[in-house]
Amino acid sequence: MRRTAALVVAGAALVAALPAAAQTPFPTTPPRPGPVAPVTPPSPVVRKLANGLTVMYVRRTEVPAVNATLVVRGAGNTDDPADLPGLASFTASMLDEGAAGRSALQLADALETLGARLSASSAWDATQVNLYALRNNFPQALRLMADIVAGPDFPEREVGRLREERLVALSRSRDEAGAIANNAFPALVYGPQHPYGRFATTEATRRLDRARVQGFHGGRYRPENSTLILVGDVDPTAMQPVVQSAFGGWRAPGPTSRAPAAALAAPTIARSVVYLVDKPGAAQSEIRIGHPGVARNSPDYYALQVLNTIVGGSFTSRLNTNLREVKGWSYGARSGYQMRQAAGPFTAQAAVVTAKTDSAVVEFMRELGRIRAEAVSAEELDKAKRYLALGFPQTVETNPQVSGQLAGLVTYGIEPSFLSTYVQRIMAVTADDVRRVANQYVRPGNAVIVVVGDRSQVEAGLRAVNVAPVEIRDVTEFTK
Amino acid sequence: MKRLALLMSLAAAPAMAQEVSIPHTTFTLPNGLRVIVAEDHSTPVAAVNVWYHVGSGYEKPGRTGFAHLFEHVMFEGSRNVKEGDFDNLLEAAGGQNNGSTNTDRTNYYEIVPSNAVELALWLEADRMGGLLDAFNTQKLTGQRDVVKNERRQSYENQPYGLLWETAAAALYPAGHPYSWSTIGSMADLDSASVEDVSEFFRMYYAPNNATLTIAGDVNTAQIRPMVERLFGGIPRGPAVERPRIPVPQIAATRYITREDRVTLPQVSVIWRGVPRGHADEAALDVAAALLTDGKSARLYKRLVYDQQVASQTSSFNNANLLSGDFWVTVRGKQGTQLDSMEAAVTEEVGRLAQAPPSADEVQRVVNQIVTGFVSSLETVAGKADQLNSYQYYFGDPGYVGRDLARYRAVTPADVQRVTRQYLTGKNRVVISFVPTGKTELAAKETD
Repeated sequence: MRRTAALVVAGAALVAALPAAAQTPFPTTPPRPGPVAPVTPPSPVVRKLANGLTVMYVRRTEVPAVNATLVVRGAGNTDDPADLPGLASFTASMLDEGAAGRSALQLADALETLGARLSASSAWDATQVNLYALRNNFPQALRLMADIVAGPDFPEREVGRLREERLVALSRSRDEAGAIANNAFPALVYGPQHPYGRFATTEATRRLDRARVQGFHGGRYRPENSTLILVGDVDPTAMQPVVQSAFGGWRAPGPTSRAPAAALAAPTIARSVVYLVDKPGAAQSEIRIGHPGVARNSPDYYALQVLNTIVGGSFTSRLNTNLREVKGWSYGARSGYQMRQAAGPFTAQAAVVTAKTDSAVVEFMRELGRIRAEAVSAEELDKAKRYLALGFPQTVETNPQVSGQLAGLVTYGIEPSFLSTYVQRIMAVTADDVRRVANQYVRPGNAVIVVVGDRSQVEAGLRAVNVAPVEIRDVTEFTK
Repeated sequence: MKRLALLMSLAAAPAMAQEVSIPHTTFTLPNGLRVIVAEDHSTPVAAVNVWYHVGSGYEKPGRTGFAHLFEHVMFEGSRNVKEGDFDNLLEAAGGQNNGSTNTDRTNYYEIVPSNAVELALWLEADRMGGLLDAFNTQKLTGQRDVVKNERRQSYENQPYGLLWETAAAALYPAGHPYSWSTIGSMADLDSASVEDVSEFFRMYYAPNNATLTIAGDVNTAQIRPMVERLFGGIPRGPAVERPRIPVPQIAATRYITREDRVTLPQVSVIWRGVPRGHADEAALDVAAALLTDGKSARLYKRLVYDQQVASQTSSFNNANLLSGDFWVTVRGKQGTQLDSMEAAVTEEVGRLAQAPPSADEVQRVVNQIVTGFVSSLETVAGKADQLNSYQYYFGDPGYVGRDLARYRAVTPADVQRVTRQYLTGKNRVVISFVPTGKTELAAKETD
C-alpha cells in the first residue's frame, strides 16, 4: 500500500520540482554574518569560609536551577600512589555510598526525591563532585553534597561491591578495540614510571580497600585545597549562610599527604615505532599516534588551540577531511592536546577500515609532517580562529557549562578573567605562531603509533609502508 | 539555554509544582513550510533545526539505510554551496552543525552565534531547494564509504553492537519498516543509486514535509521576512502520507542467541509497547525507571546491589511513530547463566503487576523526570529540537506543558495496570548475547 502510494507521489514530484516563479531572487552567495553580539563572560563573586574553602557564585536566572561543582585539587589521578593506580577514581566513586549516617540507598533515595543529580569523578589533577538541582530543592541537596564530601562513611560492604564492579569492568576491557588502544597509547608514551602511563590493573584493583580509601580521602580532600562553584539561580548573600552551614564544619581529619609537587618530566621518544596489538576479526583498526604534548600553563596555549583546530580539532580539519571526506576510510579522524599540570599527550586518532590501515597511518604521518613543513594559508588560519573565537558563547550557554569552565580554570590556578580575554587572544594568533608551535609540539618522527586491529590482515601492509619499525605487543600487556 | 518561563510554587515538593513552557510563535509559508520561532536572549547564540518527516520507517525493503545515507549526502553541497563549503562557512562563523536519522524523522541543525542565523538559514534553504543541482555519483560513493565505516565503528566493531538490528528483525514482521535498522545493511547501501537519491529527495525533502525551528537570540519580526525570502521560492512538493500501519503484535515468544566477541553474557527481554503519544506512554516510562533507574530501582537493587550477580541493568520504553517496544536488559558477570537473569526480570515485572508501587517510588521517578525536562531545555539546540518533536508527534509545538502533566498524572495504579496490560504473560522477544562458543549460557524457553 505504502509502496504504491509512493510511486504516485514520485510522479507528481517531478512536475512540482520545476523552478517556481520565485517572488524574490534567492541570493547566490552566502549572507555575511552581521556584527558579533557582545557576550558577557561569567564573572564570579568569590567568598571564603574559615576552613579555607573558596566559594564562587555566578548568578544566572534564566532557569530556576543551580549547578554546583566542587573542585578538590590534589585528589586527582596524578595523586594516585604509584602502587595503587585507580585509588583517586575509586575514592570518588565511594563518596555517595554512605555518609553522615545515611546508607547508600538512603542517600540515593533522598537525592532522587529532591529531583537532584549528583556525581563524583576524578580527573587528572582534581576530583570533581557535581550537583544539579532545581532552585527550591537546592539548599537541601547541597547539604547532602556536603555530607558526601566531608563525612563519607566508606562502608566495608560498599567498598567490596564497587571493587567487584571494577573487576568485572576490567574483565571486559579486551572486548573493545578502542578501549585497548586508549590504555596502550599512554602506557607506551609515558611508561610505568610516570603517572600518565599507569592504568588500573586487576592486581591493583584487588588491593583497593577501606583503609586506602579512607587514607586518601583524609589526606587529600581538604577544604583549603577546594573550591565550590555555584552557577545558576542563586543569590550569593542568601546562599552564603546555607553554604556555611553545610560546608563550614568540613575539616580534613589527617595531615596533608600531598607530596610536594614533583616535577613530572615527560619521557623523550627517540624514534617512532608502530606497536601492533592483535584484535582478531576486527572490522576496523583503532589508530592512536602521538607523544607527550604540553602542560596547561603553557604560554603557547592559544596558538596550540588554533594549531589543533587546523590539524584535527574540527570537522573541516585536515585529518578529518583527508581520512573521512576524501578517502572514505573512516567515520571520523581527530586530534587533541590533553593539557594537564604536566604535559599530557598529544593524540591523533581514528578508527579506519581494516583494509586501509597501513594507508591511513601513512596519511596521518603525512598530515603531521605537513603542518610542520608548510605555512598554513590565511584562509585556513582565519577559519580556525573564527571557529574558536566566535564559537565561544556556545561554551558558556548552560549552568553546567559555566561551572565546568570555571572548574577547569580553578584546577590549574588560572584566573576567571581568562574567559574575558580568550577571544582576543585567539584572534591574535598568527601563521608564524602556528608554524612555530607545530615544529615544537607536533613530532611525527618521535611518536608512538598504536594500531589495534586484525594482525593477520594489517601486519604485512604496516611493515611494507615502513613508516616506522613494527613491534607486536600482546593485548594482555594493556588489559591486565 | 533558558527563559523557560517556569512558574515556581512555594510548596514543599516543588519539583511537582512547576509549569514549563517554551514561548514561541509559528507561521506557515504558502509552500507548506511550517516555521517555529522561540526567542531566548540569554546568550548570543541561536539554533536552526529542520525536521524532515522521513526516516528509516519510510524506506522500502532492499533500500534499507537509505534515509540515513541521504542525510550524509545533504552536507556535500547544493546549488550555491560547493562541496565542503557547508562546513567551511559555518566553522568560519563559529558554528556547529550535524544531523541525525531515526525510524521516524531526519533532523539537521546548526548552532551559531546569533549574528550568523541568516547564514544558517541560507544554507538550509539552498539544500532544501537545490540539492540535486549539485549532486553527482562521486558524492554518493564517498558518503557510502563513510556510512559503511560508521556501521563498522558503531555496530560491527562494538560489543553487543548488533543487538538493535537483531531485535528489529525479531520484533517486527518482514516488510514492516521497523524490521530493519536505521543504519541499513551493507548490501543495500551498495545498491543505492543516484536515481534513488533523486527520487527520495523529490518525494520527501519538500518544504511541506518539513518544519523549521529557530530558537535563541533572534528577533521574530526580523526572522519572518528572512525565512520568507530564503524559503518562499522553494516549490511545494507532493503531499507525503505518513505510513499508517496498525501496531503489530508479537506473534509468539521467541528466544534468540547471538555469539559475539564479548566477555560478559547479556540478555534483553522486549515486549510490544505503545506508539509515541499513546495514553499509556508515560506510565510505561515510569515503569521502566522503577525497574532500573537509581540504586533503589527494583531490578537494579536486586541483581546489582543486593545479590551482586549482574554487572548492569537498563530498561527503556521506546515509543515511536508506528509502534513501541519495552526493553529490559541485564548484563551478567563472566559465566552468568542468563536463564536466571531472565527469570529475575520476569519476576520483578510480575511483582509490579501484582501490587502497585509505593507513592514514594513513583514520586522519585517523576521528580527526576521534571529535572530532566528543565535541563534538556537549557540549550537553544535542545529547545529547538523539542519544539520540532512536539510538532511532529503531537501536532503542537507548545505541547511541553501538557507533556510534563502526563508524567505528573501517573499514579501507582497506572503503573500496575500498564505492566499487566503490556508485559506480564505477553509475548516477548528474548535475545541473549553470549561469548563465542558459550551458547549454553543463553536464556532458553522453559515452558
